[in-house]
Amino acid sequence: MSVWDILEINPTGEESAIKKAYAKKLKQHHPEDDPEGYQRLREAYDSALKQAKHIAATPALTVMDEEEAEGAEGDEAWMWQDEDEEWEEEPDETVLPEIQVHPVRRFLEQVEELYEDFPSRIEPDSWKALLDSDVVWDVEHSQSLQDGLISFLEDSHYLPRSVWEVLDQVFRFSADKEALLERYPEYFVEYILRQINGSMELRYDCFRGSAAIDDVDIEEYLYLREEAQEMLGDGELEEAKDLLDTAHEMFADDPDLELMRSKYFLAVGETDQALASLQRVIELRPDDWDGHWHRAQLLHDLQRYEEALADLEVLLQQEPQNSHVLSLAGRCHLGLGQIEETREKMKLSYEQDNTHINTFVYWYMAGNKHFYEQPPLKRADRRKARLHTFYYWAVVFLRMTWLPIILYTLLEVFFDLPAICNRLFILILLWNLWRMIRAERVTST
Amino acid sequence: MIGIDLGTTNSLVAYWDKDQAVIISNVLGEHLTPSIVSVDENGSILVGRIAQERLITHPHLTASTFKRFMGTEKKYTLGAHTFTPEELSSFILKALKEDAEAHLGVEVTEAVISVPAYFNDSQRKATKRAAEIAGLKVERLISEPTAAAIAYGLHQEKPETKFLVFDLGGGTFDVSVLELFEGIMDVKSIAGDNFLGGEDFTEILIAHFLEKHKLELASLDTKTQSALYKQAETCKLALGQETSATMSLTIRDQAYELRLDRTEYEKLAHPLLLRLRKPIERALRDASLSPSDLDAVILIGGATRLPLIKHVIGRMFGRMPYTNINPDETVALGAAIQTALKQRNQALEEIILTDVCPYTLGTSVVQELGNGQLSSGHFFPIIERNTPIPVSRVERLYTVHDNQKRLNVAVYQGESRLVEHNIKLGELQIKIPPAPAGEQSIDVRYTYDINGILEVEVVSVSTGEKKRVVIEQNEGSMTKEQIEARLQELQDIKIHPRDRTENRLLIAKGERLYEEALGERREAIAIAIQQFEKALLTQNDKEIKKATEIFKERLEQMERWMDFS
Repeated sequence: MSVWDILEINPTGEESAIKKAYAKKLKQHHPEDDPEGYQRLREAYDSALKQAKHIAATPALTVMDEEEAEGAEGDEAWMWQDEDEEWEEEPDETVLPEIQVHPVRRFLEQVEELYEDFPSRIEPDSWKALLDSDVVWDVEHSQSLQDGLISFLEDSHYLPRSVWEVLDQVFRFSADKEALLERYPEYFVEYILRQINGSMELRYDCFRGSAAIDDVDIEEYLYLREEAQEMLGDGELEEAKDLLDTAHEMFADDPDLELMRSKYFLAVGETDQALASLQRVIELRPDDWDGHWHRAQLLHDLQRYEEALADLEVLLQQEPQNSHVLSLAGRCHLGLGQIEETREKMKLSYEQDNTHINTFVYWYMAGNKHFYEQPPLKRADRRKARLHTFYYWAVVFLRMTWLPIILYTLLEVFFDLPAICNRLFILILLWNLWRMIRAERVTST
Repeated sequence: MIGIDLGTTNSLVAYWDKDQAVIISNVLGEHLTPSIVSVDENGSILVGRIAQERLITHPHLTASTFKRFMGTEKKYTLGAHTFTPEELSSFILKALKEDAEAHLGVEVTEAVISVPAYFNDSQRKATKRAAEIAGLKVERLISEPTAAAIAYGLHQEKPETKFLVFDLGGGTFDVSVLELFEGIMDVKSIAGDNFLGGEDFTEILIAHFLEKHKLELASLDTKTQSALYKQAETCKLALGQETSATMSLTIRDQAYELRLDRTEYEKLAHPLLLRLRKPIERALRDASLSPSDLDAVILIGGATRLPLIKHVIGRMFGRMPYTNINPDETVALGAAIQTALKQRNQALEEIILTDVCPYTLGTSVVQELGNGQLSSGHFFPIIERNTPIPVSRVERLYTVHDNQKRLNVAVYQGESRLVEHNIKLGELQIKIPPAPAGEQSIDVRYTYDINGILEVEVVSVSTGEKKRVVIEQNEGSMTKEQIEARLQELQDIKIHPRDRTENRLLIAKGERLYEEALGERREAIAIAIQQFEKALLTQNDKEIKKATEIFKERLEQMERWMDFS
């Protein structure tokens, strides 16, 4: 039965006729009394409305295949185009002599203007002000505005995280990833969400008020910087080096670029260069977490514990309860032979995070007897200690061999044993002695 | 039959009187009954305005905004009693039922109750149970915006109209797009945010106050917290009228004050206002309409009285909303009209209501990744969101492993492609005969009824074995006997007699003023309360009436002073 049969009308492009027929049939299939009948009627009605649109658009065709109707309806590109046309058409429709620009287009022009103006672009407040304009609030334009904005951002996306957060607050990108994926390419959706959550953040505060950027092609620089980050992430060191060098020549006061350089130098094993870069990061931004942290790790590995501790102290002032920092500080103390300090740091770290594996390992190491200076024992004590050790091993030996000894003794008393048994017995004793010595070696290290 | 609007902050009851819907006043002569429950010293229950006064004086014995936790395991301990949100709601419903019975002079046993459109299955069921505890049979759960739409549609002259209902209540936000034509009220789409409401606009003021004075909410005792809440609420309402308002609070003999003007408040509320947009966009998209297709935007819910909200709606739709309806009462009126429609009342031209389901409902499936690998936890929609209800849909699912003995059907609600981000409503298992992978199959049928309640049926295709569940999330833990016993317990709890409500309210108000006042005023209030209580003990009606008048006047006077101080 076709949808038209259920509605009991002939195929038509007129919505009102369909609605009338539906209303009439609905009285027979009231949703309250006849759920199944209602469902069938309702599905027919919805499908008829869809078909009507196409019938009205193409009068030559009388009935359209249901599937075709669905296909056309789901076509996103078609909706987009519609919006585009709207922009073109509007100026023609107006009688006013001056040219009126579609509000969405005007907004996008303002976005572009703001983007071009680099010092304003990196200030979240200027975006806040722009995004509070009426056209952004207007639900009528929301979809085309968001489409326009995202396609603009696809080419121009060098913005600080604080600006991405403002954008997220207005467009709620992070709240509805599914809806974004339906409309925009996946790589860019992922890019936007990464910028918002800050996992790949590159900061912009070094450009604020810097006179040096006036002579630099900042867009080119930002491109190089982000590309270098990606290359480093993928382990493409050669490419990363070229990008970093070019960028560094353009602008040398960016701590994030300096950090990437240090990562590169570390990756190729140029420790001195890496240290110099980290030094520069800290000069540029004295409280930089990554700068101090990486330098502390590097200095620790170079066994320059005192210097490493100075860096870690800076970090502990920012975050006194960070397990990683506490644990590394403990290891530096360990390297310096300061056992008490080590234990104290490790204990603090353990209290913060009792699953931190480095803390465990090095905390127990700090408990090792080799780290303690032992006062010389008195002669009598030494003899006593030796005696105790002897008793201890004697007991251990007996525990291991009591069964063969008793067996052998019993057999020896009641039977006349062949010589092979004596040899076997001695062999067992020797073997157990060997086992004991081996155990002693393991436990003493 | 009565219509009830069971709100987060206020509740109302209405009925169909010959040819129109009428709100029933409560014993105090007010239309709104605050959805607040308190327990007094004797362990009896106080509801409404009295409980609201006690929110300040006895915060640990008083519960409010519990509708936000309907259908959850949350427990409220009030003195010796412990209640679930639905039990607390049942006290409100019982009070409304008594008000209706007093007004109508007959026993009322059936009701149409409104719920937020975005309420899910378990929240709807909890509401139904609350009504049962209160001794009311729920004839229909109706979505709040739909109820409002009926009330609006009844007075429409245009035969065909499309409109949007913007419902910002105390705790929830719903958007519905509807179309009225040929006597059919057709809900086209619903969207919303279950965690956004008028209360949030109060809470930002509390947070701001605490931040400005470097205070921690946890460091304040419950009484101070309640006082702060009241200050914030008053400030919010005042900012609707004036350009600026003040919050003041005394903590440990130190006075704190905060003056705030409208622009500052707007700035604070900006992130909340931005959250209003997404549901609106989604509802319109799902209805394939654009704002210019709408004939009207209707506001319901108390929070829409805030000029802040009205202004933002104006910006979003490029026009001012329809204001000829009372945002507080429309839902209850709509529910009352629905009672008349259900009884096919003569005075009403028939309106047939067709609703949609607000969420996508589906199950969890395993997907093949192409290279023979399987990946589990994918959401497989069976009923898409905004499908007209009642609806019933079947999907066939196949086994993925050789010799699989059982198939597990988990029921999920939500919009994410992965079930872990969706809400699990329940699950059921069915046995199937062992066979190579993909040869055995089951039919899963989801049936969503007109009240918004889901039923799932699973049939093994080869054996014909059937399993069916009405999705229950929280009820499983209680046996029938336990439920009976709990009902008996609730019956035994004394409820403050309705006829003494006014006197009890005056005392509660006096107590609140006593706590808010200091020094001499405090003394004066204490004496006034004492005198009034003495008069009550005489049991002489004339004397009590006289004392009531005097006491009432005195309290009003005191309150005025305090506002100006």
